[in-house]
Amino acid sequence: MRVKIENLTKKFGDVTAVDNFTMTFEDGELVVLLGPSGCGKSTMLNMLSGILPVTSGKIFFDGDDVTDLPPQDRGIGICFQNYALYPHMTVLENIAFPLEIKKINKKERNEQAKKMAQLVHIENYLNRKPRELSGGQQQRVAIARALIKNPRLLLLDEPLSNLDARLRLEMREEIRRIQQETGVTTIFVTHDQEEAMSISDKIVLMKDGKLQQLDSPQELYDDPHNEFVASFLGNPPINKLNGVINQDGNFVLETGDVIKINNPQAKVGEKVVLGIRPEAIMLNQNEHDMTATIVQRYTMGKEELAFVKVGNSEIRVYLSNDYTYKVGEQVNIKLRNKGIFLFDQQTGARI
Amino acid sequence: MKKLLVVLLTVAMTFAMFGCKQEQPKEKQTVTIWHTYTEAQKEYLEKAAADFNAAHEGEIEVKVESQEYKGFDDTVYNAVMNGNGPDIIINYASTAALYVEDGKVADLGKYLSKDLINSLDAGALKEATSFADGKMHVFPIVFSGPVLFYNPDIFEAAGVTEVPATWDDIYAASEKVHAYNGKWGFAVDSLTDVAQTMIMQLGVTIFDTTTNSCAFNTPEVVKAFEWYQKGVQEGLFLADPTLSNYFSDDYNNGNIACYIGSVAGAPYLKASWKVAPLPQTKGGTPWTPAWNRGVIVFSSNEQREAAACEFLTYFASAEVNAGWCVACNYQTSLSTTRETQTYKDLMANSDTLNALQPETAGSFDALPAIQYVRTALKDLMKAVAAGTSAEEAIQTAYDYVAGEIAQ
Amino acid sequence: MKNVKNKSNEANIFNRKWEPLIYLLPFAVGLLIFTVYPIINVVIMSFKEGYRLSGAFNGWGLANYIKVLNDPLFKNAIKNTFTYVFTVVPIATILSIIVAVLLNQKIKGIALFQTAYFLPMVTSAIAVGLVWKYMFNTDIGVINWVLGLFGIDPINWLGASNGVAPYNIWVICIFGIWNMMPFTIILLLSGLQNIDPLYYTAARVDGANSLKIFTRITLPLLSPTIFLTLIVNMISSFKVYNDVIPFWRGEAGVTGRNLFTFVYYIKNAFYSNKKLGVAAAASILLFGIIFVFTMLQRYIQKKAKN
Repeated sequence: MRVKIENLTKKFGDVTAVDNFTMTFEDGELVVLLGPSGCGKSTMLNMLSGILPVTSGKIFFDGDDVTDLPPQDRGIGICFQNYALYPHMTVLENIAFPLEIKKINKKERNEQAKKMAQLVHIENYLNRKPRELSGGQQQRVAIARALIKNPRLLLLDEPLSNLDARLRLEMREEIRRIQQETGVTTIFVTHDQEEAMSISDKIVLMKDGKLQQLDSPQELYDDPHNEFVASFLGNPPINKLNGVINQDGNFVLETGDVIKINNPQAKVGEKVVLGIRPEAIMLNQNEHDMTATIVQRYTMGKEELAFVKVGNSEIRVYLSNDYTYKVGEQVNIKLRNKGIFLFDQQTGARI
Repeated sequence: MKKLLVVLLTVAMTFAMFGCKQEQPKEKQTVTIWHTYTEAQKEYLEKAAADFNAAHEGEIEVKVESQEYKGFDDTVYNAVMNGNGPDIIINYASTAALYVEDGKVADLGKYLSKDLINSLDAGALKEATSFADGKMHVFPIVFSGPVLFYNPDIFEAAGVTEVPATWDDIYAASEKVHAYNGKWGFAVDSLTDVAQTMIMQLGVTIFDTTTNSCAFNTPEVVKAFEWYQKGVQEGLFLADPTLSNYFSDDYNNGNIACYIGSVAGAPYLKASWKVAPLPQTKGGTPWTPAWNRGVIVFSSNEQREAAACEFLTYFASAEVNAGWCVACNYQTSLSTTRETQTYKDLMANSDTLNALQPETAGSFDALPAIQYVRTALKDLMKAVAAGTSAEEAIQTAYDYVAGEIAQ
Repeated sequence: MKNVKNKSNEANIFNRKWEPLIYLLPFAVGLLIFTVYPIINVVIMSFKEGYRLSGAFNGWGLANYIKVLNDPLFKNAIKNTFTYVFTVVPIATILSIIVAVLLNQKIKGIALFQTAYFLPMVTSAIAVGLVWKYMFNTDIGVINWVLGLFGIDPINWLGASNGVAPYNIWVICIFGIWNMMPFTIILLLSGLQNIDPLYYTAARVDGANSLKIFTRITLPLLSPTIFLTLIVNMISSFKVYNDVIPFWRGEAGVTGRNLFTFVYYIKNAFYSNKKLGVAAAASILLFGIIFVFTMLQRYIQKKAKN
């Protein structure tokens, strides 16, 4: 189902939780609402579900204006952060409950519930109570319950936040699989950028109730519209250096060190932030844009990284495996073309 | 060897002397009184004890101890049964009766002078010696009782010219009152007393001590209860207070023109009131109930009981007793007190006390079984008021008393 | 090194079995003296015939039990108490659930209602009973006035006619319901507030109406609290006594004997008649009845759970 949002705004008193959003999600897409806590992503989800009324703006499902429809009439399925499984009902009863409300007879609803249980791989636990299940199993039940009504839209509110790291990876893939098998348009709320990057077709990145960027994960990473987007995505995070543009169009640090960049938009004398993804830095090339000193080395997974000092700032770089760098060693630094961004120091806007 | 003998002899002599010395002078006795009196009555009792102590310096000391009013009877009962009770309380013969079987109350006849005992009113003496063992376990000093309070204004307006003197008069007066204001003419606060009074005035024995059973089922008694039943059913008598738990509130509101209640209720009456003796039965024996209160001495040893009775004698002496009557607003049970000026002044100024009549006053025997009879008579009055036939209600009373005694 | 030390500590604690007993001692002694000893004493007392507080008694036997079981007043007490328990507890529970659910709503001015409903808890039952006595008055009482609006003839609540007082028991039942509700409501409210509102949201999103939510979500999740209030209230109702006192000058009903309850009977035997053995026997019987019903309830609760 196609979801269209027009000038959607939500205010709680003086606080604007969601500020004038306009966007469209295509049928069958898995869209992630991403952002730090308090950015308004859950508010957005609750408006889409109808749990929260909107302050202004419109929501269209396949062209139908659903802005004023109550949740039960929107054809949605919701999976809550702590699952909200009814503790007094068995797994089967939980999954079948939406059909029970629709007054579908017991035999049929149990049949459908069993099918749904198979889809989410919990068919062996049908007679258990939720408290007898692990977190991941509860999550599966919650998804099954959300899906049993054949919703036009599936809403998942931080579905993985209550799981430990291993289960989170597993369930992430499961959700992707289930979504692809059913083809249901899905909106997924999370504050975890890695989760968002790995699962989604599209990411809506929000901050302080404002839309920062709506794009595919890759575009978001490669082409951030502002400093916030650039720094929110990526692990290790993007390196940021403050400086100005000199006569040659190059970047000059406070210490006077010059980094050669190639950006025709940059205006001379402008105060800017230079964002460099760690993977955009090459060490000890013959050509170099600047020199730096190794301050500290550390490993992350199988990658080896180092903090190096450039001017007065420290930045992260990847170390190659074929040479052992020593702390204190001088290195030449060369920047790739990709993964280097200039932002306005004042507004954070991309230059 | 000699030395040792001397020492031993000395020790032996010292012991012997000590032993003799202890026996010779009378040991000082402490007598404890427990009571629940307050204000003037408490002060009077304490002053009496102080005066007595001053006169018996070194021999007897009377200690007056206040106890909480609530649950006092149980407090005393438990304490006495556990051997740490008081020596004296001032209470009813029926209270003393609870202790007789266990031998916890002293026989006062052993200690009191003939003159003092002879100064008792006949009714009071009869009750004081009516215990199961025939001994005297209480010495009555004062009494009060129920009287008839009436509202002269309502009576006048309703055309009741004579103060009701018989039960029939009460009925006739109530009819007039009801005709006049549509309300009730009469009510009974102390049901047991009225039942007892009606039976006694017919000359019928309520409880036969020889057969240990009720003995009042006579046609006349049935008629007497039917009189009350008829009054209630016809809306002339008020069986239960409508406004609170006390008829005084109904009286103050003008709901009832007269009622039988304790003389002590007079201070609570706010509507205009006058007081008259309890009605009599036409052609019957004059009889009124007396609530005798006397001194009860609990068993200890002879010296201590004697000391307690010493105080009793003092407290029952004419002037002291008269002062107590003034403090409590009671009539005395003692002829000697009646001669005192204090008492004459009290009586001359009290309408309520004059409504009590010592000549016709009587009471139940002080037997344990009587408590069941009291309950039975109260329930009997309630039952007939509720519409149960008098015969049936009397039978229930008989069965109840018999059942409780059998156990 | 650190590990070893920890291990020895642990061992110490488990070896010193007497240590926890010392901590328990103060409470255990209190329990023994003030609860266990009196209970045992009551049991013993109930088999002593003609027992008096002085300690004297006539002999051992079942006479007290025989007396109690043959006593028409005790039979009356059984009838009245059971009528009271099985009227007051169910009605008070149902009404309390309704009120608690209403009080749990987010409505303006709800605090006022909450205070009003808890009024009976902070007032003396006997003082308020006198107000109720007014309200039950046949001629001027507000209850008969309200019934009159529906064309119902005045009911002689407090009185009797032809020796029977059929409405007396309903007076104490109505008063009992009113008295029981506040505490029940408090317990139920706390039970309701422990239910995650997300369950309601989830059910509502799925299209459940209020009735469905109430029967399928609220009631099942509240049922442990409901069972708790049922047990607590049933035990306290079997011990009904205070509710009888205000209406007939402290007597049990208009005839003084028609509204005997278990506890009224025990009190009467103990205080008025000083028949300690009879009172003890009646207490043991009451204990037995309460025990049976509590066990029965727990059994039903377990059944319902599975």
